[in-house]
Amino acid sequence: MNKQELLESIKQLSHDNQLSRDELIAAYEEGQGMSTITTPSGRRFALTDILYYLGGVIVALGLIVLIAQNWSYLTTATQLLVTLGAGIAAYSIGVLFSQGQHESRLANPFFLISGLILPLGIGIAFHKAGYNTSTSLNQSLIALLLFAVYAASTFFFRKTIFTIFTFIFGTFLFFSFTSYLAVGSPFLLEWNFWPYRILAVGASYLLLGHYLSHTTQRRLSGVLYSLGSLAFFGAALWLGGWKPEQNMLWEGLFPLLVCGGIGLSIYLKSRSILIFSSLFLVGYILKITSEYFSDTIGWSVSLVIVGLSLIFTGYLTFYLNKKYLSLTATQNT
Amino acid sequence: MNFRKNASLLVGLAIPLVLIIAVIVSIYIPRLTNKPPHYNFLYTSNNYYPSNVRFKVQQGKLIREELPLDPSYPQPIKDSLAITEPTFFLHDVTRNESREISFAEAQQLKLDPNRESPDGYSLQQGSNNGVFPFFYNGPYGVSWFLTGHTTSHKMNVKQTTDYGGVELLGWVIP
Repeated sequence: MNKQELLESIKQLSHDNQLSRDELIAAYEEGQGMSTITTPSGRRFALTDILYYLGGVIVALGLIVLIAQNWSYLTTATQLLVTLGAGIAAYSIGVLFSQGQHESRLANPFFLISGLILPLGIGIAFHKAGYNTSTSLNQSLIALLLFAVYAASTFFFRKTIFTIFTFIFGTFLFFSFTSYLAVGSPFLLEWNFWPYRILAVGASYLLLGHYLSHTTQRRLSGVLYSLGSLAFFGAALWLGGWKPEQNMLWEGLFPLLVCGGIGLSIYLKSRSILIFSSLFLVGYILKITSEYFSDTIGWSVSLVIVGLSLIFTGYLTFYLNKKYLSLTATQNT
Repeated sequence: MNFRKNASLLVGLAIPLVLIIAVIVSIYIPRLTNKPPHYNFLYTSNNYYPSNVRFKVQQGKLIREELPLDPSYPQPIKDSLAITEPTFFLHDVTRNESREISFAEAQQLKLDPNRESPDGYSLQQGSNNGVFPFFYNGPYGVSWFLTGHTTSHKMNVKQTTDYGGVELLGWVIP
């Protein structure tokens, strides 16, 4: 294959969302002998990237500590400058770097700083403008603003860092806005509103993780599968309640959901869904045993049953992982 | 857009939206079909009056009971217990506003002391706090609602302080 054919292939793969800019750069850097680390998902992650992101987090933390320690000494203008101003400046620097051919990866830590600092800056701007930032309405407005900025950035720049912040601020917006709706309806608070919301977010994360697994941002799918499984099964277990205020429907439905999760893990070839499904199955066995059987058959027999169930669950997980996921585990985690 | 290719994206985004729409429908549809509350109510705020003072409704009238102080209280505590009367408010549910009234005026009202009004509503506390504790800007907001028939109506009840609380004394029988 000559150079022209190779470039044409790259164009085609990029058009089909089969090849990301980061993967291309990582392959180039590897050819240049630059240091790279292979992550469990198989993606080559440049050591410089780790330093970039670490630096970004340290800068953001430094700014937050600086503001917290000197809050009372800072004037309103300074408070806004070091939070909102710093967030906007970091975002702008990131945009400038992303335009350059060689500095585009340097943009990511600045986008990271902006994502960490901007919520604080916007919150302080609202506070200084006289809005009570502890109310769900104002938090919804802050979340909407952040979500709009990062969703638009994801659309224009196609960077994973923006997708991560879009998920974070989108989730924040969902919880804030539904809390705002619940203000007008206190009976919703009695109606297990939290677990239902978490259940919805979990299901949404699982589906969006599946969607991303077919795009250039497929490395996010493993994280979304993990968070989605944790939220979905955690909320379903929560909805089951505890004796004597248990919900029989959810308690009966839970093992079916977990079995569905195990089946889904094979279909999606996701080890994280398999692990979380197995862990929640173990949790469910422990819960049901202590709820219903510890009083009737006694704790000693219950422990034997729980132990055997754990061995069976452990073996099932090991077997499914070995048979269906080990060979393809590099695709999604 | 290819639906089959993007089904997981569309359904993934639709789930939270469907939940939001379901919540909005569950809040606003019953309001359209149910009768709004129409019984005014009497309440007190700033309920820091001494523990030996009680306000209650007897035979439809508000009465004030003052019990003797516990004799085991040391005299300095007895002396320090200055009688501070609570503030009485009458809330007009149609206009959704509270008006401060005197104890004498409150005694003129015919009251139903039940927790639930004759038209099936009860006074409940709600919170308008957000989910992100970082943005604490205290004091936390407390709102009051008349809740019943799977619906609720926010009541702009006046309070003497943010922390004073509200104590329902009775529903005003016309």
